[in-house]
Amino acid sequence: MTLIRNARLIDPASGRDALGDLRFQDGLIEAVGGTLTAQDDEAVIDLEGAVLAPALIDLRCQTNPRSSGRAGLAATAQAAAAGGVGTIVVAPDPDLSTPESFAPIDNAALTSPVRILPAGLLVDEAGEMGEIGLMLRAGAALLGDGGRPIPDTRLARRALSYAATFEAWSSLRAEDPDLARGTCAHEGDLAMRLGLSARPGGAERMAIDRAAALAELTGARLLLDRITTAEGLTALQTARAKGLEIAATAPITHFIFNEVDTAS
Amino acid sequence: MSRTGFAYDFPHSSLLSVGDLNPLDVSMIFERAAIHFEANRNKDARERTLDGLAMVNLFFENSTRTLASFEMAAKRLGADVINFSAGSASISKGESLADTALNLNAMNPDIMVVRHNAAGAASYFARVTGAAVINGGDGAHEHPTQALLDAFTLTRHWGDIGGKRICIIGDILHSRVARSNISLLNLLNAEVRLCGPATLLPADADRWGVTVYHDLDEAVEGCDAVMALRMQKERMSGGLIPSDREFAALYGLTHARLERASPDCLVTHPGPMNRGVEIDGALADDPDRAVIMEQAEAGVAIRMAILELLTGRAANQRYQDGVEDGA
Repeated sequence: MTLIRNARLIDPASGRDALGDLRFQDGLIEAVGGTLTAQDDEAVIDLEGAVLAPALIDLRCQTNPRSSGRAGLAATAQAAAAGGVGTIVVAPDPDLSTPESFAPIDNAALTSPVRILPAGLLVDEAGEMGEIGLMLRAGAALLGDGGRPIPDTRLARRALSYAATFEAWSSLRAEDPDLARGTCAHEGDLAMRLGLSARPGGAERMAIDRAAALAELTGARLLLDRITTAEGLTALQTARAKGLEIAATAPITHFIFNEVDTAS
Repeated sequence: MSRTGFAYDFPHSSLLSVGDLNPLDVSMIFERAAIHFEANRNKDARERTLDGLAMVNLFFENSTRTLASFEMAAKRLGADVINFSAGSASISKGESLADTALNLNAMNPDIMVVRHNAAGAASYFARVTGAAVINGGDGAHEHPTQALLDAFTLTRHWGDIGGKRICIIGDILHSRVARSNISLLNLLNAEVRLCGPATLLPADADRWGVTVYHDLDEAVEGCDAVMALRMQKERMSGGLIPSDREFAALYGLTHARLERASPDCLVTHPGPMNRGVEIDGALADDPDRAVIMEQAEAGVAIRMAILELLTGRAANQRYQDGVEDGA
């Protein structure tokens, strides 16, 4: 048994955020909250107010499952464990569109300190639907466009409709590819002054509106990938207000920086 | 106590849609078909019922078995038959449908069987010609003779379709066979289920008097028959399924997938089959399960019955129930 003292216990699922103690044995929590008395021979760790929370889940881990170097899965899994991330979902890439393509991920998971799950590609580079049903059977946590918006709306509809057959979640890049092509900054006064080619917030908003319309049409559950603008957030709120199953991720960098930081 | 006699004359001179039929029409067709089914197994099955009548098979889409089946049925009944199919001159020369219809009509055929890739084509022929028109398949809309032969095949095994649970599986979106079967099986009070990925199911199919499933194991639970459908790749533009391999794994019929069905569950397929995709070869060839060859045999008998009834020459043209009690 191990006792952790003076932890800031945070558990979003139960809404807990309070100082307290926690005891665990064989990997399972035995007691939580308040002040616990140490028992004989019990290891005690004093956190001095540091956060103790369920391990994080990274739904979109950009890594190369076929590399053994720093970008590879083994190194990524080590980094995840060190950072408190207990589950990583390997983002879909062009080589993850069949169940066989998950083999390197499954192999890495055998020796990994964290849980590793694959995600499957909705539509491959040739414009063919990925083997969605077989990939889900092979353990895919979700499906996705691999960060490249599916330009053909009919194909996007079909892929999402097919994914909805299995009630799977699909991640989509929330970006109009034409408006976003070749840009490097958010469109605004500063980007203009700096002479940067910029992407308007509307590019994200339009993509989210389209995704929401497709979700309404197909019943698909959507995870919008990396939204970064106020316009995008408004579109997301509108979609969610309709009762659609749409969630979104935002890059941590966009909570810390904005385009003003590009000038400094 | 006196009872009023009931008489009913087969009212149709064309067969365009299953929706035009009532249960009595269907039973009159089945009654004649049952007689032909047995008679066709004799060496000399030729009859003279349609002597002097001319039938035109007008197939704008390729067909082997339906065309052969109609031709066989008509010839067994003594009609003269002319076939126009997709490669024929007038069709390949780009003549409009209206001109083809009017020109053929000018030759005064008695019966026309029309297959076309446009929904409503057979109805159009019925409107502009004086012939008895049979819909041999119009786009993804209807294929009434196929549904009738499917149901007839099942009634030969069961006696009655009412109350049976039947699941139609696969490419329902493009299937006129499925649409006609859904109408007919509902008319005959069967419980109808549909199963396939969302991309192969028509939007709002749950309003068609069926229960929609996406999981095959759930769908076949307790089924008395399953109907496999051909994957209609020629009607698919853009990918609707990822691969044949995935379709076979998720929706392909095999002996193992039928374990949750009724122990004597029958398997139908309208043909031509993609073995190893929508149906496993071993299942298709299993005489205890598959009735696919019987469907082909029933097709001729059903079409003979339809030809007789539409032309007013069937022996059971009038249905009579009850007799006037003279006492």
